[in-house]
Amino acid sequence: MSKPAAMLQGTLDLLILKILHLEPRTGWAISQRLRQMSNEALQVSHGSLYPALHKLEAEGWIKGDWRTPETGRPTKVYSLTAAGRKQLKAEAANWAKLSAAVNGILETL
Amino acid sequence: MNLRKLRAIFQRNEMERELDLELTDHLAQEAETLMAAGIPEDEARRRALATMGKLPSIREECRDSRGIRLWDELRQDARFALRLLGRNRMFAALSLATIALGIGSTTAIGSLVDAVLIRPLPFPAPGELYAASDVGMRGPLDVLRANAKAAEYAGYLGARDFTTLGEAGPERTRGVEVTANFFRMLGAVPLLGRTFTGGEDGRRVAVLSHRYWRRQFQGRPDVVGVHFSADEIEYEVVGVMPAAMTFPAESANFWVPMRMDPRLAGEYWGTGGVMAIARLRAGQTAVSASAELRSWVPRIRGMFPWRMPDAWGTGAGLTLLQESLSAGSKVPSLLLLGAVFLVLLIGIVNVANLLTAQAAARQREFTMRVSLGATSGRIARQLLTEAMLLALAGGLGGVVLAYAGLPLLQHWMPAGTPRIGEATLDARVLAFSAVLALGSGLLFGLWPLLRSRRAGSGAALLVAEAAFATMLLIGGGLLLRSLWLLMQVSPGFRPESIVTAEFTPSRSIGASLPRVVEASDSLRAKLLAFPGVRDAAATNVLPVTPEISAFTAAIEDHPRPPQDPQIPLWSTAVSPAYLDTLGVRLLRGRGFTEADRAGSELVVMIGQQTARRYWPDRSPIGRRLKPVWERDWRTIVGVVEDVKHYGLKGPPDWIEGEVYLPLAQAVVLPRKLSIAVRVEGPTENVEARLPVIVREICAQCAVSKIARMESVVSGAARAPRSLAWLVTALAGLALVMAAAGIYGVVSHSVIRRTKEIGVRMALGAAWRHVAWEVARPSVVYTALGAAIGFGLSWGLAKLVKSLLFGIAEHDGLTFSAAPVVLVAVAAASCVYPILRALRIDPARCLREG
Repeated sequence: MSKPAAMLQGTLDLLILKILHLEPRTGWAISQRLRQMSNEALQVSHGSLYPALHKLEAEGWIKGDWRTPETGRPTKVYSLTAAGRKQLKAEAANWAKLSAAVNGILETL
Repeated sequence: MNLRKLRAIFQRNEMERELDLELTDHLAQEAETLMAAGIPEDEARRRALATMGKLPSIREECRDSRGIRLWDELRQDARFALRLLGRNRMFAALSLATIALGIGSTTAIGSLVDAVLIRPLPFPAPGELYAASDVGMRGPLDVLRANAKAAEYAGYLGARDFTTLGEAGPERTRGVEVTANFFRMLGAVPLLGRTFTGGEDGRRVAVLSHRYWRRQFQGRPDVVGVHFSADEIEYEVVGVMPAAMTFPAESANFWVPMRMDPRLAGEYWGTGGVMAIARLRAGQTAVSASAELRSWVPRIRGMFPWRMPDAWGTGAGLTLLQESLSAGSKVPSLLLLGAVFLVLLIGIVNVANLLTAQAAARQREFTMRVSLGATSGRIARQLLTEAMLLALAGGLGGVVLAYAGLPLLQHWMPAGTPRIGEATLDARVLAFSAVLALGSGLLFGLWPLLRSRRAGSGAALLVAEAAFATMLLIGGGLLLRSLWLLMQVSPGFRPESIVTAEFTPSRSIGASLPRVVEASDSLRAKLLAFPGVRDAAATNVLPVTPEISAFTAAIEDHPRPPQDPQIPLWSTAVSPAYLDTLGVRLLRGRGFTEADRAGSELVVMIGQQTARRYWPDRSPIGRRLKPVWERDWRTIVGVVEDVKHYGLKGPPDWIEGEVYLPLAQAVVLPRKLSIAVRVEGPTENVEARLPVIVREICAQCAVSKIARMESVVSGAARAPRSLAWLVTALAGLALVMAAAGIYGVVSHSVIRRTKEIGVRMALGAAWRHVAWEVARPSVVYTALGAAIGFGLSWGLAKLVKSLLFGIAEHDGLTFSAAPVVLVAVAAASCVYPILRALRIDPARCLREG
């Protein structure tokens, strides 16, 4: 998967889960939110967002529902599933552990 | 694989469409946001697209993450596997051949077993059809047919040759006599016309088989109503059966109603050979119908015009018709199926071995792929794909082999195996082969994967292989030894230079015994005039021919009360020249002469065993016996060497002795005559002229079964011979495959240990030690496997007991020879790898190490 080199594998998944934890969103809305939240620090190409979304959906952590608003253009809205909530908790804990460990190493050096 | 992934594979188009919709939506929203910020539409669209990245690769990645990847990777793996197999041709060819051979033979035998044992009889509700045992006469059957409430009874006589008129004159044609309700009771529906109606017992109507209708009547649709002659009786064709109807004999050309006439007491009550079959009526069970049958037995016993022994009919009972028909073929068929399964298993073990060796050799490739990011699961899948590919290709080859080999197998299978002609590679058999292929693929595909986690599985392969091969060797050995002993049996006469044949006397000749004798005498005179003929004789039944000819006898010195079982004797009616022509030795008294005629003193000869049995301490000459129903005693005038009647194993167990009668004094009018001609020099001329000579004395007679007596004798061993050779061939195959497998394992270990061996030899190890080291695992594991195979065979041997002759099922020689042979072959397979190990140059090893 062609992700920005700066981005650790699994980070994007974690962020998506976190964003959807607040409320269901479309893929586009998620990309907007990503940009805002990270103060543009995370340069995620919109293209690489979708494979990640589809993977999470295939894992059963998020689910996509098709809705047709008044504009008439069908749009897919993703929301977190129960399994996804559990996964978010686990990955967040993992991330905390990992970043603490990395920080610890960086500080001792 | 979960459902979502399955959906991803099968609803690919649907998913792609949804993805496009989603991306379009995203682009539109992005563009709208930009436009809201004042950017013109074209520019907004362009920028939106730019933030997105390359659309095709996004689609690709989405597909990946959805699990379609699995499918694509499978194709990739398959392509890679094909390339690999293409590069390693020797390995591919060997594995493919092994699997194809294994699956091919299993498929072919499987289709036979299916036809013979499994496939239901081609009649409606075949589970309601039963065979009734121990009521094999017209009378009892007729009583049951008229009175039984729980089941409807019908019957038939064994197929026999009728004389019909073909284009080239009279010919002998196989037909079956059946009761009038036979077809209706079975539920067999005619293709043309009708079947017999209730009252047609003994009428001159006939139903044709599909084959005979096509051959003799050119398949003409207006055949119903046509007359044809059989045994000089005009039968009217009333119907034609479809091709599937071959019951009770595949050789049957037509069915005619059987005579069921109580006024002909001898035929009605006294002649056996009637097979009784029954169909359960609605609401009845085999238990209730059997109970009813048994309740009728005492009543029927009382209806006989003469006193029947109390034991008559006590064995009466119902067996599923299908089981009863295939009873004699069950053990041979299952034995063959077991044998091919073992060969297939050995094949699987061999391929597993090869694949394991290959996997070991590819360790470097795997390491590299793992370092490039492949997971171990991915590599396992690659290996499994390769194995499945091999298995499926092998399976396909196997089906082709089976298709080509099935006719051969049908030909080789023991003669008289019922329904064997029905064997085909239908959808069910093909499904069976597919399951075999997939199962084999899984087995030898998973093996190398398991092996990488557990040491010592190579040993397990060797042990399994040796065990299976031992079982096959023992099975083949037992059958071969039985066959050999059977071939050693002296038939009791000299079969060399004898030509035999058979014909049905015409009605005018066959009407009375004096006419039959007269015809037989003039036939002999004509034959003796033919150059090269030394003698000729006629009889109602030739030795080693599976036709029953017996009567129930009373022996003067051994009176039995009428309620006790009487004495069944094998009876052969012979012309005076019989002993000389066949070369049967006269041991005591005299043979028959022209003077032993109808009206002269009734005389008989008996066999030596019979003489010993009934007159152990005195001469039987002058003693008397007779058929139970006759008034006049017949005097024993001679004792002859024992002849193998019925088959090489002699007549069935229930026969208690053998007796010869002059043809002129036969107990019943012979329906057909067999002739034996002793010839000096080549037999071909006589064989060619026989039909002509017979026709000189009887223009309406057709001659069949012209054969040399030697081939009749060897034909008597045909069933055990084909079975013995089939199993032995499979055992040989197993042995070769096992040897190849052992060779592979040992060579592989030598290659792996080249360096170690080199070093040890450099350090001065004795060659004997090195050799033993190399050979030890195979010899030890083979011996272990042989021991296991020995044990399994010992346990299973009683299942084949019925197929053996002259040896016990735990025959010491076979059971001790098979493991020895196997271990010897294992040791021999090690010789070349050992030589290679010993040729390792220590210096080079050290330099390179």
